[in-house]
Amino acid sequence: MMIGAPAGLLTSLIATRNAKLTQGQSALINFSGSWGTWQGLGWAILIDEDDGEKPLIGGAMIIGLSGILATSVLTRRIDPSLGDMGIINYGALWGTWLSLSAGKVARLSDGDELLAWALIGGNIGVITMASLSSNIDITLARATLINLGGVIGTIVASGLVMIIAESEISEAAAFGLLMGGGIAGLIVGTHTTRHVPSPEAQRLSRRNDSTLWHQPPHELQLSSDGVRANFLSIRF
Amino acid sequence: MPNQLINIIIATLLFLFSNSLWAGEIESELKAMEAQLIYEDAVKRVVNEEYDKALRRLDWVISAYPETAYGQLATDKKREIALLLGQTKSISGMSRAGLVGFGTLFTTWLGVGTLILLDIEEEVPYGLVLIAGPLSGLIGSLSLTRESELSDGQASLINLGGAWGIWQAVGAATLADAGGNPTVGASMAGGIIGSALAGRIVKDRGISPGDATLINFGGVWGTWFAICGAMAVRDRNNDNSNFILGSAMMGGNVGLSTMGAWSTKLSMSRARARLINIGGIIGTLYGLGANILLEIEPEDQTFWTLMGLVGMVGLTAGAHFTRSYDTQASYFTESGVGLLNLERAEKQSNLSFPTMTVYPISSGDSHIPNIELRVPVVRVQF
Repeated sequence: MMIGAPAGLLTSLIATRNAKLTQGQSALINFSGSWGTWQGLGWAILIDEDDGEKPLIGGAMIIGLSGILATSVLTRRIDPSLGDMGIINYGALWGTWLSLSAGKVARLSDGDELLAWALIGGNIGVITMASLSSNIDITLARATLINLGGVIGTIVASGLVMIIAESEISEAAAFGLLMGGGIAGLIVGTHTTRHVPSPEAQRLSRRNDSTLWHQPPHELQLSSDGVRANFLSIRF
Repeated sequence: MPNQLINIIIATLLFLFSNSLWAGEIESELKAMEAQLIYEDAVKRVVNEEYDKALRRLDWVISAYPETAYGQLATDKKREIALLLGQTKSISGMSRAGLVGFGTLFTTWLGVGTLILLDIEEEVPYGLVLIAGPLSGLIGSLSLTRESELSDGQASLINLGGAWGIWQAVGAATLADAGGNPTVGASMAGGIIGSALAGRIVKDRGISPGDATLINFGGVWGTWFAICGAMAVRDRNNDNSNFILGSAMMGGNVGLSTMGAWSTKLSMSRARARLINIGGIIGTLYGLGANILLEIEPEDQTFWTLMGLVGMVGLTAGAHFTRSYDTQASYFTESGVGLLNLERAEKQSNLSFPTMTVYPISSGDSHIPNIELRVPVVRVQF
């Protein structure tokens, strides 16, 4: 504890000292660390029949660290926006929650089975949103508002469940309603926020606001590798 | 042989007498390049609406490169930024989403709390409130924030005010041993008063995201240190829960108001505030680790004294080690993030001075090594 905390701080400070990471890339590395830890913990619980503590902690550590290392390498090739990271993060949370609810609807009672559904569902959410993110230009604000739509849908559905509960409702039906409410909320949120400008549109709007922000077409960069110049800059 | 000797003499003379002339010219070119780099980076910051960082870069150009064309350009750009800062701006999408989220959930709680206060036990009214509450909260908060001109820092503080109001009111009701319903009522009133008070305080005040983060951490650390202090001096023979809760509330308020008063003078970036907070967390972990190593139990007063003191040391160390974080030195020479590392670049550029290379004698009758004078003017990469 006394060595680990400062070692972690120093390692991450040194590793990022000369790194030209964008906010999206650093959010991706943070997300992969926490998501990997959760996945490692979950799968270790499922695999270890004796429920020992050491495999759990080991699994969480190894998968969490692997996530950080893998995405650190990945960030050399990809540069997600904060909005992309927002939908991937919310995709993970909604995938986990919806698959857990689906397990309840399917009347799964075993804790391990439900956990497996939640872990797989979360990964499906991450993969789906990660593959969609390259085609969607979305701001973090819009992603948050869509998520809020899902939360509101779930709360409204819980209100319905409470009203119906007067005439009795099964657990599976209740979870089905909550799922339906959440999904409906997400859809409504996506539809109603479609006019929120994309990051690129915001940037263009800022550029067009005034000629103050006109940059010279050439950029001269001075670095340890020499002088780099691009003499031609075309903007569409 | 004579030709070789003449070459050497010419090369030496060229090197000795022209070096100073070229050096002056190259130095001024280098300065212009550096000024251009910093100026262009400042313009990019302005496009990204990072005005504080842009102003720091422009100030540097004005003070360090006044003789270049970019010195005047930077002065003009500063005037433009001042005009822009004077204009009213609508709330950012993320800040609005945060306020709408808090407003929606708090409105739902207001509905549920009202039913609890009315002692309604049937499930149908609760169901109806859960349906109507979030929708009305969403519509209301969207409407309230539509024309808002709050900055990110102001919006953060309004959310903090709401949450802080709920915590203080619930704490006060618990201290007064008010029971269930009054505590629910207090949480409702606390949230409303806290949000309204925060809204009033931040109105017409320039609050940066760094200020808001600093105030937030001030509240959290004030609460924690007060808990440590109360646990350290508590009387173990009696029930101390109210004493500890009261201390935590008071400590949090002291931390919040202290940072509220200091934050504008410190003008700290959000990143630095977070790093100082990490220093405090590491200090607290050190305190915990020391307690475990020394086998000090949580029942012991030393346990909490150590936790609090080492946490303070961590915060102080964090503030000390990040003291140059928001300065020019950090932005341009140490971090190398964003802009180039000019310190390194300057070393590289020094190679532009004429260099003389002596080659070893390979073969033939010559007894004098080949000497080459090289003058790299500029290296261009595509």
